[in-house]
Amino acid sequence: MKKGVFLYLFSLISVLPAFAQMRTLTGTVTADSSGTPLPGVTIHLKGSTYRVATNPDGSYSMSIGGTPELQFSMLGYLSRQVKVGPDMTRLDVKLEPISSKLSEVVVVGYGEQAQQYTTEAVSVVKAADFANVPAVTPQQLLQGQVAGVSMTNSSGLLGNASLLRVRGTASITAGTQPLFIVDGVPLNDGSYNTAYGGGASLNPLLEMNPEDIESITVLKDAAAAAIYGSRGSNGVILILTKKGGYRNKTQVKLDYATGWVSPSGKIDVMNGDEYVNFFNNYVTKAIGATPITAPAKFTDWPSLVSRTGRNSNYALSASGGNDKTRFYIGGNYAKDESFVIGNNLQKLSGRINLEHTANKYLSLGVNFNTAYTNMDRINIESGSQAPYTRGLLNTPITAAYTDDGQYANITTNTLANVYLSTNKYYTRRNTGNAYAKLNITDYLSLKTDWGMDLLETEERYRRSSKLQAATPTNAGTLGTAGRALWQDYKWLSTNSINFDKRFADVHQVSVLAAYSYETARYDDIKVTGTGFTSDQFLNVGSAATNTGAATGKAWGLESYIFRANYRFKDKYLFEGSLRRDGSSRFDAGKRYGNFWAVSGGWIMSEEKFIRDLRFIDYMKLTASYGVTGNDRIGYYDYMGLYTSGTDAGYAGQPGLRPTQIKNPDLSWEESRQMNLGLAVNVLDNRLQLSVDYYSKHSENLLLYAIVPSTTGFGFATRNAGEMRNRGVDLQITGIPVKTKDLQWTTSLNMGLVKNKVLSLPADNRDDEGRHYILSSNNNQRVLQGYTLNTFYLLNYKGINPETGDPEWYTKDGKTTSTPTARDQIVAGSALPKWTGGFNNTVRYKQFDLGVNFYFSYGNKVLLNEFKELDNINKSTATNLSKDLLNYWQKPGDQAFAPAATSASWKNGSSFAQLSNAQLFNGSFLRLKTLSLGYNVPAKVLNNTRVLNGARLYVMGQNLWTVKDKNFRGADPEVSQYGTNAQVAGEGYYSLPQPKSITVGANLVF
Amino acid sequence: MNRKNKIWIWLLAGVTCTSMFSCSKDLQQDPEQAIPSEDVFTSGATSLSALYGVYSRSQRPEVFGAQPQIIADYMADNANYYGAVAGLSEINTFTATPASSIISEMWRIHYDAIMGANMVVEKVPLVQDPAFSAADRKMYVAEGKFMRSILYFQLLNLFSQPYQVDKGTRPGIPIVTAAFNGTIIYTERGTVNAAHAQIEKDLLEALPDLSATFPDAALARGRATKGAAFALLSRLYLYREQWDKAAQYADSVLKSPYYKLSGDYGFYDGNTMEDVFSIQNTDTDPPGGGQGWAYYYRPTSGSSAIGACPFAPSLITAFSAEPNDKRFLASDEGNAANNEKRRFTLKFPNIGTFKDNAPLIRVTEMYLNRAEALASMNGVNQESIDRMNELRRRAGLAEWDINTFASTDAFITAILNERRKELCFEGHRRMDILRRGLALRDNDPEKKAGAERVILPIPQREIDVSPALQGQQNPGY
Repeated sequence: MKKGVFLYLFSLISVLPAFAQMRTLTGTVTADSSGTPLPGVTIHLKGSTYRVATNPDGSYSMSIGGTPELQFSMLGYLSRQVKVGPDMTRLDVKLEPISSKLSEVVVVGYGEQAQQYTTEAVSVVKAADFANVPAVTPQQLLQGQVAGVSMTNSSGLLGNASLLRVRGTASITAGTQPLFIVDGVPLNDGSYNTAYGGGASLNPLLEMNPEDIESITVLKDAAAAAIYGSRGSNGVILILTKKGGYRNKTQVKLDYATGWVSPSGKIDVMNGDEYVNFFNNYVTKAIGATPITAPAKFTDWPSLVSRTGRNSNYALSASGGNDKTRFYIGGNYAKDESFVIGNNLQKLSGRINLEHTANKYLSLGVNFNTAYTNMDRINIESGSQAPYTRGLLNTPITAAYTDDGQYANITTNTLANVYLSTNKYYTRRNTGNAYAKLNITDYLSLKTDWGMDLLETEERYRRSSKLQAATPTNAGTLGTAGRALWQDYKWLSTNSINFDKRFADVHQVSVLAAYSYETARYDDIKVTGTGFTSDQFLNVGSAATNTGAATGKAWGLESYIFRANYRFKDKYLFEGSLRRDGSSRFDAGKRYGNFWAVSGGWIMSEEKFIRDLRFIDYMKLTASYGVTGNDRIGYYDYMGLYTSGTDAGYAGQPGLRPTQIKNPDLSWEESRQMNLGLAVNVLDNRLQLSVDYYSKHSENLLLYAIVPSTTGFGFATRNAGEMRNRGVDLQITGIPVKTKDLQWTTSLNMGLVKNKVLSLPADNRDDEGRHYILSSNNNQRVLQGYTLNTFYLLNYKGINPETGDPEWYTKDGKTTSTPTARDQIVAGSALPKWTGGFNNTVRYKQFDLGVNFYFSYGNKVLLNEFKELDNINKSTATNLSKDLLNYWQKPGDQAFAPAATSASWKNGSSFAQLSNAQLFNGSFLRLKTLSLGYNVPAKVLNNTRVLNGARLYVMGQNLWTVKDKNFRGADPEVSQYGTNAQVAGEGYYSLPQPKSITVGANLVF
Repeated sequence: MNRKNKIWIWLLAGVTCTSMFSCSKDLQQDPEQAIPSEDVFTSGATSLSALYGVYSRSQRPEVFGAQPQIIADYMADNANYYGAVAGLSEINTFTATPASSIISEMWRIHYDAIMGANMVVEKVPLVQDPAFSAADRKMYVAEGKFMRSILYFQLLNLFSQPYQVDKGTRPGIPIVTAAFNGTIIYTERGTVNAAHAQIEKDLLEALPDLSATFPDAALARGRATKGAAFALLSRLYLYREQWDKAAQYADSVLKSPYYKLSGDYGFYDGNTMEDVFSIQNTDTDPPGGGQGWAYYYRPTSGSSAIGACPFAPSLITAFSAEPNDKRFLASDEGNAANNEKRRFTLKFPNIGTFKDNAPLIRVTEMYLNRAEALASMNGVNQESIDRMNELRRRAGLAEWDINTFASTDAFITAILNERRKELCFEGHRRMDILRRGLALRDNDPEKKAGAERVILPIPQREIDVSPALQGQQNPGY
């Protein structure tokens, strides 16, 4: 190392221009507005190749002779040229930031670029855009903020993964979640099957504190994402956390918010009187049920299972720095309660980001986050026993409590189920990286970066023995408990070389080369037990019988990464990137894949003919094309495998059985994406418009599809099929009013996507000869020539006004009262045609008002709960939809429900059977947030002597939703199957999104 | 030193650093819960494990873990079906659809087990292991052949019309005997006769190489033996009305020292000499899927049993013709899934654990096969009477004599009635009715062999993925 420094100094001396009379010029470069010192400003001695860069404290020192002209330049600031006076030895310079958003630096893969000069389609959401929006997890902050990113909360359940799509769904059965990267560390995003609470497809960002985030960048096109190669197809979301600033006074921030939560919508079921009357007048006639008598008191189940949830959030942070070191420390404690009993979430997280500049050459840093979450989850979430489900299904004549206050019908009582059981889910996560950066010269640097993401999740459940009926023989099986631990540990290292230099004043060249290796190991341990003598025994170890299991697996990814940028006259932009990935998920012959992109841009506003137009401040045209990949399949899908275990053992002897087809040809799924973009700023940059058109063609889809059973296997993963997503991303931002007291900022973003499945394997054909893939869920089909997530259902016509019988259309358009599976039709798509947001901020004197809308248009949602809520013919009676009260009574009635005497109730052709009667228009417009804040005036703050800033606010979330008038569900925003791409837009008693009122304060010390 | 050199030195230093820090480049990750197929048939021990894998797959609810067996009883007149499982209810009401996931899983897992057997049959002879004896090799192959025979036989009975319809020329099921090598071959249905021929061929080939028995009781009854192959051949010939062979192979079992009629009915799940072939289930290795025989055949008890299949009234009537039948006494009353109080069998008492063995072939059946085959050939005869009396004595019923029956038909009807009472709830009834040309249920005379919907639909899933099956659906679906 010493030798290297020596070499550097030596060579520096050797290239010094030889001036007769040399003197040393020193000074500091600061930002014009804040006075913050600016490190890394290039100071160029005009007419020579001599350049120096400012130190981290903004200072510089250079040798000059005579009265040269110096150019000070830095990304994001207007360049300044200063003539050095004779004998001058000190020169302090202030640089003025470029006012528009374009000057901002955006985070891209493995680096940063000036927004102005980037040729990549990226969208950035800055801390300021989501300040004070109480969000459990960061990706909620993206909803309605970024054109082309659609985000659907899977349900109102706390901690659930949300469905995030960047420019449509790029894959059918491989993973479709974007890659999440925090400070350069790609996060684990596995989903773990829990024994008790259903699938826990947990949110990969659950453990992040939104307050810690500096910016979220969405990499959308191939130019941006190809640098992430085999994982770039679904888009990449880069999160940069706050770093503090050199020479910044330490600033301490305290944020506190507390809120009240209720559901944003509801389903109407019958009350006690309605139910008893309906049952005795209708159900008895329809299916011959015995009449019921009203109990002394009805039970209001919907209100027994719900409550006003309370949440509170504390965030404390400190940031700042001196000449050598900058830091950010953040801590967060949040407590959330759902509006449904039994669902709570607590979160504790801490972060430290530290960077130290050892000397001119070397800087070192660390970003580290540790977090713990603790959730109370609901038994079989959104399943038939979940409290919200039971709240709607239990009849008003089903008692919750006996007269002496005990649980009535304890084995089926959902309240007992919730209150006598524990169902905990914990996550513990440590994510961070440490790096060292060596600045060899002002244009060449090396960086080594070591990251990790250690995720540990744990499920613990304990069901009381009271929840099972005791019989003479089952004492040993009463009461159950289970505990499971999942570990997903990831490590990676990235070593990179960066070169960035301007030649001959017009050629800006930057090159990145990097090598990265990433590996992850997954392990799980599960134990379950049954047979507890007392509910006081909380752990599995006390059970009469125990079972245990443990598994493990690992994968590795090796990558060679290159990117080169060339900019000519700050007008013509070119970029090329290449990544060669080698993955353990493919066989030796198919292990390595190359992913690449090329892009170009033209800053037209630098051309005279545009500049002459005067009203255009900035205009950029970009085009890109490239290939990204998708490797989100199982770890060993290419191998033919035999497994052991009880599924293979027999009569106490160990066994082996074939479980997976060998497919050595298995390879990457590829997406070829073309992007055309235009960005225009007019009216003093007060109106900014950006439009992108893209076409993303995914091929060699990694399909996990059925094969004939005669092969001995049900399914196999293979490369087959093509799919296309085409669309337009549009973003308009404007500042209609900008005065001293009043400023109004408004922005509209919209993403339009058209998805089409272009081809599927020819050996899968449905009865009409179309190529298709059967999904595990029969309501949707992947059909060639249609959009992914096409509903395939019976076509319900309605109640015949003359007969009172329900009727459907047959496939050939005739009317029938006994439809068969052959009459199913393509009934619409679950994919929205467009989604977007409309966001407004108004500042008036000390007040600020924020109004944010989110909308989704052109999608269908299937609400499976109505198959039950509309069906009277069940072995166990349940409560029913209020809509059934409108039933057919006499010829001419335009009724919702059939006549009580309709044969359909008994012959298996109930009007509640699965059809497009449960399919609704899922378009909606939602007032996501409405906030009003008051900023305490400076003179009041000064009196406190400690406070530097204070804002008090009140905010409402999901206060108002506009939906189709025929929509019968609680909430059109549903995604029952989480991140599964094959089924979207379905609900089954999915919890509606929470509606909340929050009050809070932000204090700065 | 010039500028260029300086840069190169730094670059070199950088690259050295980079490669020094780069981690192990081992991208060959091997699974930890599975082994690659090519490592399986490498030794005698792993070959045996692969054979056990075939038996293990047969434990599944969809194979011999009771679903096909309860269907055989409730589609006929022994049991009713009240469970909430929609796919099974539809079969009960003859409204099953090709899209039924229950049916498609039954089909799929049978072939899953069959392919495991095909692998054993094809790969075991190629194993390079000097310690692997020739006798063991042959025996494993023979067991593989036996297993695919019994699996194909059950599948054929479910999805194809019996031999009696057009003398076995009706469509059969796809027969695959080669190990899957990665290339999908679309196999046609063939005929019932073709399927029977394959089953017969496999069993006859297996016979000389199968073991007579095993020292361990669970393996003696749970693995394929000579006795099991004799017995299955006897049943095959009985179904094909080749009476002489049916009688002959039944006799081979009856003469074997390993099988003997039990003194009472406590033999279920006992691995006694009563059992010729039972798929073994245990506490720790039940059929899987949270179900088993007792799940359907015992009164409702949470998730341990669902009271789906109580006695059908017709079976109670059959028993009540001769009171105090000990076989009827092995039953009790309890809540059926529809909340009625109904009678349930006690043959499979292990609710929750589902450890009841699947009694696929009992020596009793050989008495019945021989008696029926001899009667079909020779009319009322003393040996048939004697064989039947052994069963009737055990049941506590009066003995028959040569004069009890006025006609051959009456005698055969009586043997079938005995067969019904003896083997009820063990998965025989449907085929016994169909092959004799009777109606599955008294109140529905149309449901006879040859009628639509007395057999199950070929799963739509299979038709959709196989050109060879397109247009090959069973009529009526």
